[in-house]
Amino acid sequence: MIRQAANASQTLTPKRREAIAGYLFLAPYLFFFLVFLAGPVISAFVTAFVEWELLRGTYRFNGLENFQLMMEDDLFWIAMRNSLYFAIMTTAGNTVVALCAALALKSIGPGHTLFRVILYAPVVLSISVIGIIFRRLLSTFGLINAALEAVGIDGVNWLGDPNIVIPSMSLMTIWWGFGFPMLIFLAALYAVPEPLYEAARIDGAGRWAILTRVTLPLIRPALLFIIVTQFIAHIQVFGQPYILTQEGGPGYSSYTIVLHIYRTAFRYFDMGYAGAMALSLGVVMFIFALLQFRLLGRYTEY
Amino acid sequence: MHSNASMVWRNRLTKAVTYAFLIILALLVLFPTVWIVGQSFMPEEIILKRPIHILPPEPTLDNFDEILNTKLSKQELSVLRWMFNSVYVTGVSTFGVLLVTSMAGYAFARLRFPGKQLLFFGLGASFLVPGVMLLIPSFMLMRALGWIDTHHALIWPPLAGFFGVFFMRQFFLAIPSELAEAAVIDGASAFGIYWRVFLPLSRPAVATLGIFTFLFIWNDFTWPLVVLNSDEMRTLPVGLVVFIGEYWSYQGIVMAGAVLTSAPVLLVYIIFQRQITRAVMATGFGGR
Repeated sequence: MIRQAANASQTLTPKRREAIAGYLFLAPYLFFFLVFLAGPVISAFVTAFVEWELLRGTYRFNGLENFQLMMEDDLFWIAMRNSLYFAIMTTAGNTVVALCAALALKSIGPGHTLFRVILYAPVVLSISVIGIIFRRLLSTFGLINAALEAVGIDGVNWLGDPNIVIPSMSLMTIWWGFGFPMLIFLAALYAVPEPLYEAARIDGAGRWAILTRVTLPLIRPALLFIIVTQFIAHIQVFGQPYILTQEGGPGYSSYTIVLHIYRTAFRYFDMGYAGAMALSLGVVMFIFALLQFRLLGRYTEY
Repeated sequence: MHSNASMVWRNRLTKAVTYAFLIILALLVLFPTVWIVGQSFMPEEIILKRPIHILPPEPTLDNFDEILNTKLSKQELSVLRWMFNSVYVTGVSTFGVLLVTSMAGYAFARLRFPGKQLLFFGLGASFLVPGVMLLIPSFMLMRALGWIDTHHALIWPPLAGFFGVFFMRQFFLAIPSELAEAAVIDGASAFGIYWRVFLPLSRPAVATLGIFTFLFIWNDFTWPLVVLNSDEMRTLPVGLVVFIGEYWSYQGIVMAGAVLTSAPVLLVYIIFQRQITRAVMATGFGGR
């Protein structure tokens, strides 16, 4: 009786006190989250449906006009195709190189630290540094052509040939980024129980059979995770063409979708149209990511 | 007997091929790196000379001297200013991220309050929002706040990232409750328990999160390119690319700039490679 009365007057039971503490601890983060993440996500949906030109100062609801414009905009489709091409090639290349590297690291055992440290190193560099190095390396008078010519092969116009420029950027991006999927695969490979390999070997399975029948199926979640996240990251390619090919050259052969969004918004200040393109791309990728998280429910472990 | 011997040979061969593959891959990674570092210490005449020199015959600091003392367009600024900007922005922002996300992570790991699960998953959904969708709305927000061409635009938005919350929560969950209970008996407040018990115990996790945040903010290119437009505000990676426009024909100087931009991150990587590797392998974060 007395205690109840005390509680009622104080109202701060330990449980309540803890809840208040919880909200207080959360408050600063929540503030930044609402302002810098939730807010922009909401306004992304609004921007896509307005005519909003910064220089002219227009701002009015225009329904689906931006999306209609998108359908008729040749550059949008060229950029979309280039980005897809780049993303597929880079994702495939990265996955294969990273998987081979991870398998090699795993097989040479604990002595692999030096290799691992070297192979991951480019991942920590900025795209601006990578872009500058490769713009030099890949130039017609660059080191790579000099090396090719030294062994009697004709130089390649890496960044100037419309058919080669995207594979060149892709190659560079693989050099830059394969260390990350490599570590993910390495972690997955270490998680495969050793007795499974033993059993396969006793059954007389060869190396190739072990790889395709034991290893790959068991690291499938990691493979799926890498393929999806890599694809999402690389379809948003921007720094590479911005730095290497002066915003998408030669012509529009390396012009990508994020470059198109960037130019529409920050060169022509057509925020509504740029927003509509960004939203379309964003929603497609969001669904893509959602699918992946559904497929990987167990792997991601919250 | 025969099959045994051939097995031994086959194993040796596989091992040799594996090593050869890794060595070639490592050389492919190292070669451009050595090459730019080499060129940054070479005078222009040697760079242009054929056959190509990979290592400088007579190393010189002229390129660094030039890049650090050249005054950028009209203003009395040099690359040193960009370096300062990068250090300042990255430092303040990283500190903010560590404080704000570790507090939120602590709430999710250690405190009970209504709506916790829902909030956690709601916030976590932000993982799935692709960067390109936020570019324009974030820019408009910066404009509305009057933050275009200020360092605020680089410092504060990273504090909304959920990765830190998730990462710190995982770590706090693993700390035994007995320690916190002892602190409660000693009469510590909720903040006291976080500050004096949990945070000191989580030093490795805080360090790892700090390293990732540092690398991410230091290297960022697109966002600073969009929100900064004056020479005096730029960070190193963006400054470097702008700077190249004028100096592209001076290879040694450009390479010196690349070396200055990457030296801090490579240093951090070499010192903390173990923590970085472990965190990437455990959480699956840190790629692009």
